[in-house]
Formats: sequence, C-alpha cells, structure tokens
Amino acid sequence: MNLTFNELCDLLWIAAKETFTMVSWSLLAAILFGTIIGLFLYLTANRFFFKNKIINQIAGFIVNATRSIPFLILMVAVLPAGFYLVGTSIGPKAVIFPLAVAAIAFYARLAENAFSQVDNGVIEAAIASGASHYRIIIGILFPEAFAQLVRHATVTVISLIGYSAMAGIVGGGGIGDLAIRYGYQRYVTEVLIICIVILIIIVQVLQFLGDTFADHLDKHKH
Amino acid sequence: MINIPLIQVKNVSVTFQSKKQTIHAVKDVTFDVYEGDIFGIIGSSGAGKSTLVRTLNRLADPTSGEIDVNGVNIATLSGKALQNFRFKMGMIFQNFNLAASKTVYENIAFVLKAAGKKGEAVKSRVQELLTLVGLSDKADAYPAELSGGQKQRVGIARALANDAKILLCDEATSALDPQTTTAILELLKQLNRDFKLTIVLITHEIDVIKKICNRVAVMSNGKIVELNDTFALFSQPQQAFTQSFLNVDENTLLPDNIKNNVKGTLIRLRYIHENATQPILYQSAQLTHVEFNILHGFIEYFNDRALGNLVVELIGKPDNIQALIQLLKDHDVIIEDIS
Repeated sequence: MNLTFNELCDLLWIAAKETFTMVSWSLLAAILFGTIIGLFLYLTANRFFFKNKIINQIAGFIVNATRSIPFLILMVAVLPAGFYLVGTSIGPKAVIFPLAVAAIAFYARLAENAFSQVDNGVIEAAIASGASHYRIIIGILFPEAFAQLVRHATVTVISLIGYSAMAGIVGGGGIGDLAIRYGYQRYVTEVLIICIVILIIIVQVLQFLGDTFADHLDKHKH
Repeated sequence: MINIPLIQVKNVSVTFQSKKQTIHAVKDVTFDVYEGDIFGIIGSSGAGKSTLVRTLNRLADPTSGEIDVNGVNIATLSGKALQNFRFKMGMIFQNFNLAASKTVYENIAFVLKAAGKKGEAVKSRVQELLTLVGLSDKADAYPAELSGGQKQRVGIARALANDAKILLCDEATSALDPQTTTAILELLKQLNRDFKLTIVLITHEIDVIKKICNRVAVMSNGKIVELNDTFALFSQPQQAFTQSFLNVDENTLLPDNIKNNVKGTLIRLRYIHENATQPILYQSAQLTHVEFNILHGFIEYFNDRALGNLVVELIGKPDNIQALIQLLKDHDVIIEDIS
C-alpha cells in the first residue's frame, strides 16, 4: 500500500496534533498536581515544616504504588474512571486521564526531590528570621527549587511522549500510534522512519529548551 | 539600678531520640546574658553548643528547663508572637545560608517584608543596612558573586534588618580566612558598641573568644564546665579541662632537651592586670640577688588588659629564690613551679 505525499502529510499533521493534545494536557496536570503532591511529601518530611512520618509514608506509598504499575496496565485500569470525567473511553481525550495520573505520580517524586535539594540551612535562616511558613514556601523554597523543577518537567514531558505512543491501544492516536499502525501493522516502513525521526527531533528540541531555561535560572548560582 | 539579665537560661537540657539511642546534646545548662554582652560559648565540635544556641530562638526546643528573654518564657511563644520575637533576635551562620536565587537586595528585603514592611520602607532600610555593613554597591549582586566575608556581611545585614536587639552567631567566622575573620569580628564589635547589640556566639576558635567576648562559657559533652569573664578565664582557669582546651600554656611549652638541661629552678610566671607591663621581675630579682634567664614568654592583650606569661630559670641561693618568689607573689604574679 502506497501513500501519496499529501496523504502522508495529513496523517502526520493529525497525529502530531493528537500527541500535542495528549502530552500538553497531561503535562499541565502533572506540573499542577504533581508539584502540590511533591510539596506535600517534602513538607511532611522536613523538620522545619510539618514533619509527620505516618502521613508522609502513606502519601509516599500511594505515589510509589502508582509509579510501580506499568503504564499500559495503568491505562486500561483507569480508563473506566476517565470515562466519567471526559465522557469517552476512546480517542486522545480518553487517554489524557491515564497519562495525567501516571505523569502526576512521576512528577510528584521529582518535585519532592527538587524541594529537598534546597539547602536546609537557607530554610533554617528563613525560619530564624521570623518569616511565616507560607512566606518561606513562596518566597524561598520555590525560587530556590525552580531551576530543578524545570529540569524535572523536561524529563517528565519526554517520558510522556513515550507513554503517549501506547495510547494507540485504546485508539488514542498520536505519532507513536501512527508508527505502529502504518509502519508495523501495514509494513509502510517510510512512515515508521519518519515517525521515529520526528520523535527524535521533538525530544531533542524539548531537552534543549528545558536545559537552556533551567541553566538560565541557575546562572547566578555558581 | 538592678541589672536584670536579658537572656536567662535555666537548667536547660536537650535530648534527641535517634533510632537506637538517646542523645543528650545539652545537659542542665544555666547561664545569664546581660544587655551589651558579647557572650561566647566555646567547645569542640559535638559539645552541644550548636544545639544550645538554637534553643535561644526556638530553632530547637529544650527537653527540660526554661529560657527567659526580656523576662518572657520563650516556650510560651507561638504563631505571630514567636515571629515577632524572632524579628528581634537575628542569627548568622557558618555557611551564611543566603538564598542563591536572590540578589543581596532581595535576600534582605525578604525578611523586611516578612515583618510587614512594604515599598519605600523596604528600599531605604536595605540601603541603610548595606551601608552599615559596607556593601552599598553590592545590592544587585548574587551571593555566588561575593566573597565569604561579603556573604557574612549580607548575613549580618539580614539578621539585623528588623532592628534585632540580640544577634546569635553560629560559628560565624569558621569558614573565613584569618584576615576576613578579624574584619567580621571588628564589625560585630562595632555593632555591639554603637547599637548596644547583645551578641551570643558559639565557636571552636579560641582567637574569636579572645578578640571580642567579654564573657565566656566553656562547654564539653553538653555541660558548661566553666563560666567567667574572658580575662579571668584565660589568666586563672579553674578547671583542668579549660586549661588544656584553651591551650593556656601551650605557647610557652619548652622542648624536652632544653628543660632537661636547666640547672636552676624553673618557674612559670603569669602576670595579670597592669603588672604585666611593669619591670617587676627585674626589680625583684635585683633586690633578692637572684639571676634569671628567660626561656619563653609572651604578653597578650584582651581589650585593654594585658596578660603576661613567662617561663624563667632562677639561679641563686635557695633562700634568695624563695624570697624572690614571695616578692613576686606579693605583686599578684601567679607562680607555678614547673621544674
């Protein structure tokens, strides 16, 4: 089976839009909720804030449990729940929910790590200065962790592109799905190769942008 | 006028529960700090001084005992009251602990805003503080662009931002070279003099104590083993631990072969007060017909007070030597036979 150039372009364009939809929404959810959960994990583990071993371990267990499920299995397991949220269990929209769940858990751990890399001495100095916890979190913790949060968001978005390739299982579409359907199932090797090249370019560009931004934020530190 | 201590530490103990054992970091410590004091706590690492100084601003809480600051039991403070209390008690650290993502200006502005200052008030106060610590041209620099001494000056400006009356120093000069240490100590002295700033500092550096503290507590294994004013502590240490820890006589230890070849009586003289600067030894030796041979010695100055330490060999008739020693004792010279 041969595709005309125009047909190929259409297929790629649609696939790219689907990948963008899936990855951008789930990334947004990951950054939003993952940061909050990561902050929660950090605050309940740090003696300068609200150290609570039991609550921290429960929260940590939930995050780890989510992360330990392979994405393919997580996706089919949570799709029914996603059905209630987005009204469908097929297509890119349906895949956003499982992608978001996986990405939130992934980013939560990375965000916690970014916060705990902030020098405890700087936090201690802020406490000693009489600043409130809220002010320290907003005014010290976030700015100090920001570059690292950006780096971790880059890692997350690249993992998300990988996960989104599995979305084809539930008709999610996207570039990865295109590669499987045409390149693997229909033996159109050109499509497979083009998809691989596009994915490599996207990942390289994202990595470059993420690193550049993070380095810009870090430029005063060393 | 009754002089009420600004800080009263009463029978404070701090214990930590680690997985396997209970650690007694501070054991039943009691001392007072008066307004205008530069109070030093010296001890080797692990002596508990870091924990002790943190109990003063509630970064650590005592397991038992009580701390009063300005007559208020600080264990009763919480929330807004604790914040207000901390605004008036600044702290500086060995590693400076400045936020790396903030400029010098932003680091200081942060604590001013934390105390509710806004807009112009923040701006002018930051400038005032930077001028005070000699960094008025560094407002827009990031900590990474500053030297250690400059970072500590920012730390001091930040600590005093909200008109702190007390400054806690946690090994504040331990990461600095000797010249920078001297400059920072001079600044602390000046702040103490000009603003009646009360300073509580912990250190393992004997020089820091000698240079600026008026009162000192020597700490070992969580306990205060000796507490006195600085001059008295160095001139007449009461405890063996203090004597060895402060290295009081180390500078005048004689090499063994010299010591073995000494024929006369070997004594150590410790001059205190103004007699350190008088020719007492020469005059007394002439009167008693004893010859002396100086083998080692130095004079140290603590602010305006001199402390002399001499090791001499006395040659003469035993009676005359006894007479000389008595004469020196009459002049308040402390004599120790070390032959």
